Amino acid sequence: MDSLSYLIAALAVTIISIIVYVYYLGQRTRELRRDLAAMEQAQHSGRQ
Amino acid sequence: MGEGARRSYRFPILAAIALAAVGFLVFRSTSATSVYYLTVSELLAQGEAAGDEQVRVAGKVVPGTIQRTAETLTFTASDGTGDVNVTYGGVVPDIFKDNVEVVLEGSYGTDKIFRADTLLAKCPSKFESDPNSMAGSTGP
Amino acid sequence: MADTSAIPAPVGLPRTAPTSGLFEKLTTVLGVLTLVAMAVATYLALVYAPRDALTGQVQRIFYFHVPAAWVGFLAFFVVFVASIGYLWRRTTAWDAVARSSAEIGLLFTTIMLVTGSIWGKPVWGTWWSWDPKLTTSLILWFIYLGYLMLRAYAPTREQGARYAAVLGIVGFVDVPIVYLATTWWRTLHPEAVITPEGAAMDPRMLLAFLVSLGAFTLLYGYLMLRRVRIERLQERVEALEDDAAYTREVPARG
Repeated sequence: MDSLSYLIAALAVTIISIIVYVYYLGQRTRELRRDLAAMEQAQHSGRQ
Repeated sequence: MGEGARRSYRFPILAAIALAAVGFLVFRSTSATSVYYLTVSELLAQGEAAGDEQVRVAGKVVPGTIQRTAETLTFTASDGTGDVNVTYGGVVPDIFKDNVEVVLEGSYGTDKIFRADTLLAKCPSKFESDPNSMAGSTGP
Repeated sequence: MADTSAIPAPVGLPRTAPTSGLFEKLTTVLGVLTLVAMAVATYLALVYAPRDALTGQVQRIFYFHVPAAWVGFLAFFVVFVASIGYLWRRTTAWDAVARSSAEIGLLFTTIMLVTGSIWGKPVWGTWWSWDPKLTTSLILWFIYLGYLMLRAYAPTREQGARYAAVLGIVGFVDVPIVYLATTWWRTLHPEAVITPEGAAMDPRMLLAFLVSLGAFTLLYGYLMLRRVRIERLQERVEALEDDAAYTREVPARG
C-alpha cells in the first residue's frame, strides 16, 4: 500500500534540481569573473 | 518618436492581448460553460439527457458496497442526497476504499448504471497521523 | 586607470553593490543558514512528522510540494514588483531583480509540477488531469517560460527588459488564480488544508510544514543573491565590451 518509491522520486527531483541550479550559478559566476578580470587587464595594458 | 519607437510597442501590446485571450478562454472553459465534475445529484437530475456522453462525476464510496469480481469492480457512489451504481474495470488508486471521495469519468446509461473508464481519488482536505505507526517510523 | 580621462568612456563602469565584499559575506551567511534549515526541514518531514493514516509515506511529498509552490508565487510577486519598479525608474537594478526572480520562480514552479505529478499517481491514480488547479499552474509555467524566452531573444537588452516587464506585470494575474482555484472551482485538489480556523493536520505535521516553508524561503533569498550578482557581473562585462569597441573605433575616426 505504501508508495515509498514515489516519495523518494519526488524528493530526489527536488534536491537534484536545486543542487544542479546552485552548481550552474557557481559556474556562471566563475566564468564572468574570469572574463571580467581578462578584460580589465586587456583594457589596462592597452591604454598604457 | 518615429516609426521605430511606435513599432517597439507593438510586440508587448500583442503579447498582452494574446495573454488576456488565453486567460479568458481558460476562465470560460472552467467556470461558465462546464465544471470539472458533476455531483451525483446533478448527474441524476440530468438523467438520460446525458445519454452516451462522457461525463465526470464525483461522490463518496458508500461503505460496504464495494464488490470485486475477476474483471470488474462495482460500488455505489453518493453525494449525500443521491446515489449511483458504478461499474469499473481499470486500475484503482491505492487509497480507494469505503468513504473515499472519487472522481469518475464515463457514461451514465439508461440502465441507471454509471460505466466508468477512469477512477480517480480526490484528495482529502486533512491529514491524520496513522495510529498504527509510531511517529518517525519509516517502515512500509 | 588615471589615463582613462584621455579617452571619454561612453559608459561608466558601475561598481555595483552586488559585487562588493559585504554582499559576498551576506551570501555566505545566508547560504549556511539555508543549508542548516534545509537539513532540519528534511529531518522533520521524513522522520519527525507522523505517517499519514490514509495515504501513507507518500503524503510527505506535501512538505516540499507546497513550499515549492509558495516560492514560485513569492518569486513571481517579486518579478511583478520589480517590473513596475523598472518601468517607473528604468534602472538596471530593478531589471536584474526581475529577471533573476523569474528564473528562480520557474525552477520552483517546475519542481511543484513534477512533485505534484509524482504525488498524483499513487493518490489520485493519474500523473495528470486537466482540473482547474493543474491547468492554471501549467499556464503559469508557460507564462514565465515565455518571459525568459522573451529576454533571451529580444534584439537589445533594453527592449527585452521593457517587454518582459509588461509580461511580468500582466502574467502575475495568474498567481492568485492558481492559488484560489480550489476555492472557486471543483478540482482534484483539497480545499485549503490550513485555514484561519486552524490546520487540519497533526501539530507535528504542521511544525514540519512551517519549518520547510521557512527553509524554502531562505533558499529563495540565497539563490536570489547569487543570481542577481551574476546579472550585475554580466552588466559590467557588457559595459567593458562597449567601452573596448568604442576605444577601437577612436583611432579609425582620428
